[in-house]
Formats: sequence, structure tokens, C-alpha cells
Amino acid sequence: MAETTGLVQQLKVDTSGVAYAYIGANLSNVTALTVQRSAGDTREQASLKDDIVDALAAAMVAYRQVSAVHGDTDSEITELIIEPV
Amino acid sequence: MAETTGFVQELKWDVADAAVIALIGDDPGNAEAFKIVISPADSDTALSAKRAIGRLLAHAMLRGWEVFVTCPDGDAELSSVEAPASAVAQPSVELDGIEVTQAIQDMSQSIPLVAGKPTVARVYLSNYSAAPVTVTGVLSVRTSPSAPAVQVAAAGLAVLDPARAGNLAAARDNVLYSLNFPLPYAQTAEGPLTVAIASVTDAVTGAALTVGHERRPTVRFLASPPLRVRVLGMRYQQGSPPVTFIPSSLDFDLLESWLARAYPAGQVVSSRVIIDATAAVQFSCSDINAQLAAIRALDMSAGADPRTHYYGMVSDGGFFMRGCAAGIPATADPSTVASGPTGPGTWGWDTDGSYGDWYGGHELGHTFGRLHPGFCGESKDDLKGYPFPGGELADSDGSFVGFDVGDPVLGLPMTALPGQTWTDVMTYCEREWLSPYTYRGILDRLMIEGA
Repeated sequence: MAETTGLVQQLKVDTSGVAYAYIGANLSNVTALTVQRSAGDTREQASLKDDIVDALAAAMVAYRQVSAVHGDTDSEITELIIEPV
Repeated sequence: MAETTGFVQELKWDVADAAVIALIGDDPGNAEAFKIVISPADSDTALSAKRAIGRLLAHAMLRGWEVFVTCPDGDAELSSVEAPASAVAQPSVELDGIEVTQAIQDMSQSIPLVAGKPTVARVYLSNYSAAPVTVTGVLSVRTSPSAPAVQVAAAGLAVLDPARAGNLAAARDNVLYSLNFPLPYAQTAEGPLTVAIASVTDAVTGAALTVGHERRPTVRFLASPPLRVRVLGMRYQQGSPPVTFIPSSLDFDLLESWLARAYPAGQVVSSRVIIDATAAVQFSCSDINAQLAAIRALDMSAGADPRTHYYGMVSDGGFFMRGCAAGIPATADPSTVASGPTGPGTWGWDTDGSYGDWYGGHELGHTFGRLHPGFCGESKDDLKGYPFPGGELADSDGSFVGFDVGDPVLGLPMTALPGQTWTDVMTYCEREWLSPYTYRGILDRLMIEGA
């Protein structure tokens, strides 16, 4: 698994069920990650994914660093951590 | 039922386990793990409640609020969350909020903090006892869980009058009604900073006061390029016999100081020089700007930093030269020059000895692409819609308050600038400062110029 750490520089949410989070130290150095709702998601997974998007938005407006865990060759976030300061 | 009170130190959402893990405690090294697990057996009501608990924990963490949580004995799964946690033993002094400000801010900390810029943490306290109390205090700040906490003493005293208890707006509008902590430069480095109250004491008796509703907000300082400006004082002669006029040292000092206090830059790299105005008196700002542009071009060809803005300052001792910029660049263009007058006039409100500071801030604002928003007799050139009425710094809710960190070298005290009294620097109104709108606009342009 890979982990990307940084500020949420930009968040895009669209009605297709995909949220794009651009995470990195600054706008010119970001990793594009996704939170993707799929038909195969259980109800619990779907709600967790919605909550991750909420948390990404809250962290972005608070300029708070996050760590997102995703596959080595996969942009989909499987875990999100708001870290201590 | 087990009960815990503490601050949310870390939150983790795990899709595979359909769980949220929360570390709650007094500090990152002393926190207990709790969880919220969503299961297929949960009813819609239970699912909704669990998600609400997770969201409340997130908000409490990001705002630095203390929480009170419960869970069954022997089980880490949360049953309830209360935020903020209940007040401690009904203290007479309660924390209404902490605001970390550099020039303009709201209680949501929505204005980015710039690394290296003079910064003041303002602590708002209410006194619910029968009599006023004068307090002082110490803050504890740290930049990471492993960094040592740094103690910061208040810059002065605050009088907490019970008549003002709970009136946050009044406290924000008057520097004497808050405890103000100028942060050490090292604590304003790029990155996060957590702010906590270490102590509040009665300044008369020395007794420690218990503070209720404690919060420990975390703010973040962002790197920004320096503001680079070369200020040229224009020398001219007028009268018979001829008298020579140049800007005073105070004119230069106050302009440089004002830019450092008001503009969104962590560092102001400035230089100054006196040169002869080549145009005949009474010349105009366009004449001066043409001379400045030629000088700048020569300097650039000689290797000067191309990000440097040039500003010409003209003493009003002989005559008043209205200011202007050579242009208002829609995209980053530091080659756009500007010039304006200076002198000791107060304009009815500015008593620091020179008006060349905010006047220069206005003309330089044009060189960063800022247009007139259209208040107090100016043309309405900015068609994007200035966000506040009358060119003020805030809406009627007073959400934004300006703050001048002051300059001890020049004898300028810290001053709160109420958002409905002070107006944006790009207007022609009195009491000029940077609104959130202009502050963000100049910060964005500085970032582009510095990239």
C-alpha cells in the first residue's frame, strides 16, 4: 500500500459518485486521489466513503494535513487519517 | 459506562473495516483509542447516529474543542460524544475563542496565515463573576507532537468586565479586551501550530484562574514569497528662492513598516534611494512613473531581481501630486510601477506622522492587479463584486476584524481594526487596511510572481 501525505489542495465532487482529492505540499506538487462509490459497495462502505469526503473537505478548509492510504498503483483512498499536531 | 474527556488527537477512516478510529487524550503521546464500527445489522437510525458521531469528532478535532465521550465498560466503541466538553467546575472565567491573526481574520481562521509574518494569538475570555478582573496569561504552542511546547507570555493585561461577558464582538474590536500573544518568529515557520492556554492569572493577586470551555486550535502557516519593493524618493525644487523637497526618513520607514504589517508577505525585501525628478514641477504621477519605468528597466538589465516592484514617493511639501499606477496588470507583471504623495497630513484619521504608508499600499495594490471596488468617490473598476457594504472589511455580522500588530521601533501599538469601521485599502474611504478580499487577491498574485 502507498501513503500520500499533505494538505488537501483541491477537492472535486461530481454526481457520478467520484470525488477527486489533490493532496500535496502545494498546488504544483500534488497527487490526485479518488474516493469512488461503486455499485458493489456495502451500505457500511458507502457511508464510510461519504464520511471520508466530508473529512477531506473539513481538512481542506482548516489547512490541516492528512495522510491517505491507497494502492501502490491505485488512486482510490482506502484509509484517511487526520494527523495530530 | 466508561467516560473520557480529552482532545481528539487523531482520526482515521478505514473503508475496509467500515470503522472510524479516534485517539482522544490530553496530548498525542497520552491518548486512548476509541472506535465507531458500522455493521450490516445497524438500523438506518443507528447508522445515521454513528456517522454523526464521526462528523462531530472531526469538527471538534479541527476546531481544537475538548470532547466528552462515553463507551460501555470494557469496550472501546463509542456510545456518545459531547463537544465541547462540559465546563470544569463552573469556573468564573470561560474561553470564548482563540483567534490567530496577522492582519485580517475571522473566528473560523479562514484567512491563510503566512509563514514568517508577525502574528498575534488573541485569546478571548469572559468573566462571569460579580466584579471585573484584570488578567494576564501564558500560551503553550507546539509545531508537532514531538516538538517541545514553547511558552509565550501575553503582551499586556486584559480587563475582563462581567458586563461584556459573552460579547465576543466587543472583545475582538478592542485590543485591550483580549489577551494578546505575539508569537515568536520560529513558531510561525511553514507548517502547523497548536495553540493552548498554559495559564491565566489574576494580575492583581497572582492567583491562577480556572478557564472553562478550553479549546486548542491548530492553525497552519503557508509559505509565501517575499514582497520585493524598491522605494524611490523623488527630489524636486520649488519656489523662489528654490526649496528642495524630499520624503522624510519617517515616510520611508512607515511605508516599509505598513507593508510588512498589512500585506500578506512573511518578509518585505525593500530598498530605498533618493533621486532627482526629471520632469518639471508640478509634474504628475504619470511623469514619475515614466521615469521609474526607465530606471527599473536599466536595473533589470544590470541584474536586479525581476520580481521587484518600484514605487516613487513624492513629498507634498511643495505641491500635492496625486498618485497613480502605470497600469493594473490582469496577470502578474512586477514591471508595472506606481507613485504617490507623502507627508504628515492626517486625512482626519491617520496620526502616525505620514500618510505615505497606506497611500503607497493603495498604489502598490494596483501593481498587484487590484482594482477600485467603487466606494467613497472612486470609479467602480472591479466588477467581480466587492463582498462587503461601503468598502468595509466585514459584513454586518462583523465576522472579519482587522489587526495591526504594531511596530515598537516606530512607537506603533497593536490595534484592533473593527471590520465595520475600517475600509479596504483599494477604496477612497477613510481608515484604510486590507480586507479579506484584497488580502487574498494580493497573496494569490504574490504566489504567482514568486513561482
